[in-house]
Amino acid sequence: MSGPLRADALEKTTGRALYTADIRLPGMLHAKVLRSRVAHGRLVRIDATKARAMPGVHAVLTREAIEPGTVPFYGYFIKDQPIVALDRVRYEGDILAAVAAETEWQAAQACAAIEVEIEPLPPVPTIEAALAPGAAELFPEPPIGMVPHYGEGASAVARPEPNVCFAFRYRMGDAGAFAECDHVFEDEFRFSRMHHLHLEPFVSVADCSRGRIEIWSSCQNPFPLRKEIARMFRVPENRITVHVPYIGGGFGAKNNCKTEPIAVRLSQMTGRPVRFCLTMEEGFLTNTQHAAILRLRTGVTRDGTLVARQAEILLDAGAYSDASPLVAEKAGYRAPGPYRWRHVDSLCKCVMTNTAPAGPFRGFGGTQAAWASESQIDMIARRLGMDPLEIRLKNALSLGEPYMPGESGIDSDLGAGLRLVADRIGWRSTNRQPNRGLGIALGFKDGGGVNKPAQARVKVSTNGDIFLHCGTVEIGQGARTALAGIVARILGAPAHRVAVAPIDTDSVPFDQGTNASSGIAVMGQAVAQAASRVRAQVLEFAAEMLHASPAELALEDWHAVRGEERVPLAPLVMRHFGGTGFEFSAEGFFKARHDPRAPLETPCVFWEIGWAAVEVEVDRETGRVSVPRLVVSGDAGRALHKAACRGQDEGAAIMGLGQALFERMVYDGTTLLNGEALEYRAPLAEDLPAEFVSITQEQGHGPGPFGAKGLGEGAMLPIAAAVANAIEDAVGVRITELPITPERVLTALQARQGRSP
Amino acid sequence: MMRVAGGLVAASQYALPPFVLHRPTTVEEASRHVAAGAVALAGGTDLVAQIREGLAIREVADLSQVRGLAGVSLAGGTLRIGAGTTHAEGAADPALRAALPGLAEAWGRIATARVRFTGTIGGNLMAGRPRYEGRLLFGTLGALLRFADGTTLPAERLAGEASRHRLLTDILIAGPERLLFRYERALRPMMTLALCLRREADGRLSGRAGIATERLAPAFLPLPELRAPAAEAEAAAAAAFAALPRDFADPMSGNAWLRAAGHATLARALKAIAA
Amino acid sequence: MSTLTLCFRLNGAEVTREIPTSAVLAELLREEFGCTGVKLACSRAVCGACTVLLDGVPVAACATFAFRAEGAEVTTIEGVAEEDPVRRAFAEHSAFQCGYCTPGMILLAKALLARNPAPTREEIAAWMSSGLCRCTGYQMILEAVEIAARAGASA
Repeated sequence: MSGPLRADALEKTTGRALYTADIRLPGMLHAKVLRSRVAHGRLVRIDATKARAMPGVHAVLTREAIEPGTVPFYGYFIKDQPIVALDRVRYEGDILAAVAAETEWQAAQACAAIEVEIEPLPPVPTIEAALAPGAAELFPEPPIGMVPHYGEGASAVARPEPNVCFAFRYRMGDAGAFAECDHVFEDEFRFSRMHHLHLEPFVSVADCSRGRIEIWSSCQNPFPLRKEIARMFRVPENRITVHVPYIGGGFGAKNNCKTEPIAVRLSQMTGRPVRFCLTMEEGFLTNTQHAAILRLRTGVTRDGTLVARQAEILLDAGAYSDASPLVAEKAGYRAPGPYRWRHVDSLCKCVMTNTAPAGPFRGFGGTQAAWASESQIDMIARRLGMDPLEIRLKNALSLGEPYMPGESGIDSDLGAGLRLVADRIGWRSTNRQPNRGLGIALGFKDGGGVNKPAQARVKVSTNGDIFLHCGTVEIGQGARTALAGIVARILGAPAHRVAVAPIDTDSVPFDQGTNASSGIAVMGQAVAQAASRVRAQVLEFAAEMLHASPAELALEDWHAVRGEERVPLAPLVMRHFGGTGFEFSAEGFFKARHDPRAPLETPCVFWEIGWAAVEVEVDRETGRVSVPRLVVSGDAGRALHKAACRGQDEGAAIMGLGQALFERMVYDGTTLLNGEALEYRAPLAEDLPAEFVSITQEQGHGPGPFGAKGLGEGAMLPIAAAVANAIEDAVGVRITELPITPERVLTALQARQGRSP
Repeated sequence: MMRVAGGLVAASQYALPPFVLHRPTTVEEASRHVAAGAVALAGGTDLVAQIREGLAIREVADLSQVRGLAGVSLAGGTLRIGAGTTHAEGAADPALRAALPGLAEAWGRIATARVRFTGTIGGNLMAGRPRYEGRLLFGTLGALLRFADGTTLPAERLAGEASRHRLLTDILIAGPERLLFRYERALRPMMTLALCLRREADGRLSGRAGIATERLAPAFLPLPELRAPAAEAEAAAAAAFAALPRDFADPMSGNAWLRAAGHATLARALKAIAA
Repeated sequence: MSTLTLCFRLNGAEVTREIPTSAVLAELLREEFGCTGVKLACSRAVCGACTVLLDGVPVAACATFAFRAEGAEVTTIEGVAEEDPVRRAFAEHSAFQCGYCTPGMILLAKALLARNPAPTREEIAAWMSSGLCRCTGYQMILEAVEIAARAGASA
């Protein structure tokens, strides 16, 4: 055994684990959609007459079938994505119509029979094209939306210019600081777009046949989904139930509406349950990471002290805003990195293009920011003749030092982590081999979400069986194991006595969603409070029954323990409450306190850090980069399940390595060229570095139970920059665009040698 | 089912249109069905994907019960590889390993464990996908494809569509004992390169290289005659790549890089093959 | 013919079904036999989530016509015993996260160890590269296969 078994181990290794993709209901119909082949155009005519008459077809949803009085748009801050195309299509793959039929085949056949006339508009394929003067606008009329109330230094504007749906800005200190710098460096970086490639597809089943809306969904945030469905369909939230079984991976993609609105509407139209399951190919067209252009202007003194940074970040939001404004907040806010600055001015814009909508992706803007920042810090060190490790150690925030004014203190010793990975890779080793180099990087993000509330409930039955009700979904991260472990530890029970109840939004207390690495640091605190309250109730009860004071008693495996005496609790409960028994029950709540001085509504709950050191070898003739060694580390604060922590760090690191070296969605204009598993290259086992070391630190400073904090995103953040840094160390060229393909490396090597490629 | 973009949007995870299934037991019978428009189903690892991509089929001829399609033999100085030979069988075949170890080694590395046991070399070639490596390997080797109707076609000239109504029966490689073969796929999926040299009676070496990407059908590049491949590697690679068409490029790999990386890979392969 | 009668052994039991010729094995196993451990992800024989064993050979059930199972022994994750050393190694070593690739990975590993009871780390990595896992970064999966091999999984 490698530590205790995960709570989901048996189900997931026997094939018994149930996912939304496995849900089947009696009388269930299947939905399929017709997608636009035109990237940008006006929808002139859509006629589903033939489709409606086809065998097995029960309903066709086109713009005409939207119920009057409902609001057919969804989104996060900006409600701009229609259930089906209304007046326009905005990317190749945009949904024109949906069909519910007896089988998927019949639904697909009917989709093909829908007649569509689209008048093409000029396509806007890239950030540059979208911002060019006179560019066609994706949204000539501004969609409805809101801008949050930010705290000190932060601000945002909706639609500041054509094709920009949202711009976030963070300013701190006096811009005059640049004048005091010995050097000001300006560099531009480019970040490519990945797809989440979650294996369980986007899928939901909706049943509106009994006067309620009931949804099973592979969804990371069931409560916000419920709210969004209620708003769109004008149904009270207590008439909507969202169930979330196990989720087969998400990595950010499965937040908010994806397949659900179409399944709901088709179920309303047919009175039958409707399943809408996308293929992996459709997944590529549904949600992606943000490609980005990042320009950094950084002022330093000649001794390598960082002084001032200006950042301009342009995110490719794709055709609909989705979570782009939220990602912009984070990319903009994280652009300085965890260093001491006198002045920061960071601007991040979401640029609309006729490509697949971009949304949340592991790292959430932090990946983009870390790629640019950690590359530039390294470039500055080399320009100043400094050791890249030393410049980081010199400028990194100390433990407890606030990230920005009004913020919480950094809760990891950044220097300790840097030295740890540096020592492990042999940073000081003088034994250098030709074409090999070392790189280091420090990834960071504010973790735990923005102003995020979480509630939990813990119940204990007469016999000491423990129920945990909470809305954190099990998406692979091990949340059920870790949260049940918190409850078991507080109640003095073996872990197997705790069962996590299946999630449905009627019976589970509110949670904002499983994202932002918040499961332990936010929900964990709510769970711990609920468990502590139940413990207090039980001890009070036992004390009364045993004529003792609660302080004299301990709780151990459903016994009240006083010194040597162990009294079983079940008989006491039945004696007091009667033979049918009782349940002790309590709720817990956590939310970071609101603070107007904090830039993002509340001080950050915890700081998620990823440290990486890497060795690369560069083939000077082909440009191929291989990674013989990779050392990655995260800080769990206190690891609640060591193997789960390790798995999160290693998975994140390999996702980062794919991003660094090869993984990307390739567009030819507005056309996605590799949107399927055969041509989209994702890391496989054979891509692992020969030596791949992950170290779960337990520095103990986390705000969560027992000093725990979140992880799972941090280890992705530093990887790409660490690889680029190592390449410069190896062969003296700097790659500023991801992925670092052999072609880009070879071109840079040839340019350095002064001949054209 | 439909195509959107260059990528694919197969509408369903598995819903396929019904088709008429033929299960011939002889080559003649199978050939008749294929000539009449049935799609040949060999190992069956690719056809479902093709249907999901939009290939319209009405009839399928399942080749799994056809006798005599599989196996490797060496007779009369010619290596014969049955089209129904799976990748795993081919790579492990003692006759092939003895006659042309470079090909056996390369063959053992293509595809995945799942495909290697059921996928056949005939299916690999006839699927007509650039990323399937059979055409690069056998095209570089100068292999001849023989069809059930008695016609033959050099492997390098295979184009999926034109041969769809012919049943491939075997692949012939003449004089394998005189061939040196090497396959480089470390740069996959951006680029792969195969090298084949033929030892002539007087000791000279002639041959060719093949280069392919995930999206481009292979280009075959003749090599100048060589006496000492190691010493002449750089010049021979340069000469070969001078013939690479300027439009040989795809959105993931530009022509200049393919040329430079291909040249370096070929020069190394020549040095390695000489060793 | 566009339908046929299919007989095969599923996880040790004889079964018979009338099926359309175009039925895909994954569809048949999931919808007719309730083997929902056969996971569908890419639906084009790339990712390996749907891997099942056909007479011991790993195949992609998403891209295999059901009629190819005629007379064969089909093993899905539902046919792997709880005490199976490979299953136990995956469970006990936490060599899974979301679990969607896990049934395919376990069957893939079983097929490897049946052919090569003591594979090297490189052989394991090469073989297991037939399966896509987006969660784990693979290292713990490779270690689980090593643990299973040491526990005598080929027996």
